[in-house]
Amino acid sequence: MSSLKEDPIQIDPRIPRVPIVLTQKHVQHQWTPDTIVTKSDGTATTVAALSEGKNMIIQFFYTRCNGSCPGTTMNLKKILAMMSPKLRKETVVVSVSLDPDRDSLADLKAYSDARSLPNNWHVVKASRVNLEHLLTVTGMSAEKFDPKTQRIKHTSQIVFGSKQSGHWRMVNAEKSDTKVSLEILQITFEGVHYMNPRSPGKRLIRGQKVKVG
Amino acid sequence: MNRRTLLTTGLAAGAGITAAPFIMRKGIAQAGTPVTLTPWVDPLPTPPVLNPTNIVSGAAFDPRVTAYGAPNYHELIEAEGFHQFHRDLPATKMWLYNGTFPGPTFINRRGIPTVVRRINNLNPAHVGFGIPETTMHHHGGHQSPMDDGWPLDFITPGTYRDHLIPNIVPDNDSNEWPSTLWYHDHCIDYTAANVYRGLAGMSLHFDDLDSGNENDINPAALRLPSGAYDVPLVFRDVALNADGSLLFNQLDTKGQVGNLKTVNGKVKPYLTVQRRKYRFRLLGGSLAREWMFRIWNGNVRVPFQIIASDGGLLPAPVTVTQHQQGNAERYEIVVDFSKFANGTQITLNDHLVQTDGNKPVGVSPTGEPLVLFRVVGAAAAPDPSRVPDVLRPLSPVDMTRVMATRTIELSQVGGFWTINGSPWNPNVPIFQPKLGSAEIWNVSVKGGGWDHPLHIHQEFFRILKRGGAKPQAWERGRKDVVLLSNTSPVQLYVSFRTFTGPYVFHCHNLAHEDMAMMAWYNVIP
Repeated sequence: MSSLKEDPIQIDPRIPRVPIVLTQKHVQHQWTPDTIVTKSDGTATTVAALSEGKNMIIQFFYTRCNGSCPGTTMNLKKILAMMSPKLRKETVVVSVSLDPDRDSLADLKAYSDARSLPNNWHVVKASRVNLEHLLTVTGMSAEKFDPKTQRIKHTSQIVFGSKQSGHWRMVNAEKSDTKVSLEILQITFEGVHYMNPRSPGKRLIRGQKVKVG
Repeated sequence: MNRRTLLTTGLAAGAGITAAPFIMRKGIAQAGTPVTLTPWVDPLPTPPVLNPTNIVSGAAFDPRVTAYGAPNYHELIEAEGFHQFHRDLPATKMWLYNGTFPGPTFINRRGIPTVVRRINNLNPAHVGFGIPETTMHHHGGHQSPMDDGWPLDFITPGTYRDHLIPNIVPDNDSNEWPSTLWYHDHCIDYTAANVYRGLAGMSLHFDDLDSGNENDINPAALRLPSGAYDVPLVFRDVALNADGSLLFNQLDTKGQVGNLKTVNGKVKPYLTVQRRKYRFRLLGGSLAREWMFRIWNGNVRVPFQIIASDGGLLPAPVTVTQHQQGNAERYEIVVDFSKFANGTQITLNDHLVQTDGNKPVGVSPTGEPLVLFRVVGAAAAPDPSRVPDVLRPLSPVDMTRVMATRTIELSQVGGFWTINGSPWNPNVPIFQPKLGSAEIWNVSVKGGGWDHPLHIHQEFFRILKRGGAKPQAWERGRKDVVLLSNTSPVQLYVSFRTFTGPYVFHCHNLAHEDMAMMAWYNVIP
């Protein structure tokens, strides 16, 4: 990177071009962040470890939510069920509590058991600091618990990505059509289109040339 | 990849300081070293012309490419390559057409078809944003559905596809001939990422009226500034990591705006201009950013003439001192530098303040200079070019062809950007207009938080009303993109001529398009 260099042009001082302050704020987060979380059985682990190097879906929820969370969880379960067995085997879901102060480990377990969530679906909580970090790196947002409304305002998007394809996307799993969501998950995880092109290109044979005109 | 970016661009007024740098500062989460760049050190590049060729890779062409006469053949290769956005920045790995960004410029002549053999040489094992499965849309072109870049017509690495640009006009009406189009990737779900990686270029059109020759002896020729005095300006914002790699937020469904504004692929380039008229072809080539251009001589605004919009030359030039355009729109302007003394420095500034893909949040009175024009010449240069009072006539809207009136609403439903409440569905057309017919589309935006530049494929449309009133003079010509907000619904006259089959229309905020704000109509015989 350069430092300031002498400008070869004597710039007309009337040109109103200074100062131009460009502030670029970005967080360079890692694939499957190594944020420490606690599973419902009390085991401390990281999101990266939970992913096992597979495709990952991250959902934010809280057990007492009577707003979007139940719908999101049910739709996510439907999407998983609609996946091919191969893709399902290669996918891990991590549901992270947005209410770490009130959601006990027992609450997390009860939430999982009540919905018969499969083995590749981890319901976890994290410290407030780690939760904030996880929200930041996934680009999600949530407010703190509001005692007046007894609710936590949060987005109902799920974030998902594939280490293999390097693609990340998000959908609103509460409101989106589950078929459309599944298609988006598939293309994101596999890095190639799930459907065939309407009319594919012709195969190029090395050295093959044609004269025209 | 795997990055979340929040971009804030602060613009502040102040007295000029010679050679003051501009600063690209690395993130707050991880303190980085500010990157200091010097403005006006890179000459403004002009994308090379895509020259015809006698030999192309691959097998013989399908005879269909000669359906409109003997074409010129071209080869366009999509491959990874490096591009430097500024002298002091590391080279950036991109996806390039024929090794350049912007891609090479197509030159089209009415009556001579252009055939482009597009070869996908991208890395099939690519990891990161963008998908190496590509289509190509000749944006604004009047071409058959199979050549239009249907989003599902993608080709995989190691394959090629031929695109026939017939260079014809609907109803053989000379008034429909365009002047500045462009081409870009249009792959389903990944247009934003693939275009951001670099797959875009210009496509210029000429005929006997707009011949591209300011010395033309044909009395019918307009003799607009030509050659070195006819300059495409592709405006594109980017965000870069410290190593020069492209920073792209895949989770930003609003549409990413970058903090570095580039012109023809350079940050703050300069152009040495002679004391005469120049024709500039402006393309809003970003993913989401809108632009408001003013030209400054010190603190005095320089008037300029708008001579063309998306669909070609206007009936008459319009003199302005400011011009706003949305993403994917093209406008052409003529700037007369003849009255400026040798050594005068003129800037073209962008005055919009836009911090995310939703819409601009304000107007900066001073703006950000994007290009520096350095005027040279002790005396005014010989200038055979003209800007006649009459350019290309506008054929009247033929209301007898109207067979339907439609309501189109752009909104957000269920986490998707939608058209009439539905996300993109490749299996079901939204309308089935009849070949040769026309329709009235009343288009509106639901929700005031965002703008949508709506693009309709296949034919230019006309804006009959904006916000219930006659549109501004520069919007009365042929258009293929209309910038919409919830305060300015538009009424469009849309025609369906020459070709039957499927064509898409969509928001040209490319994140919106990828997140399903796209539909298609099927023209039936």
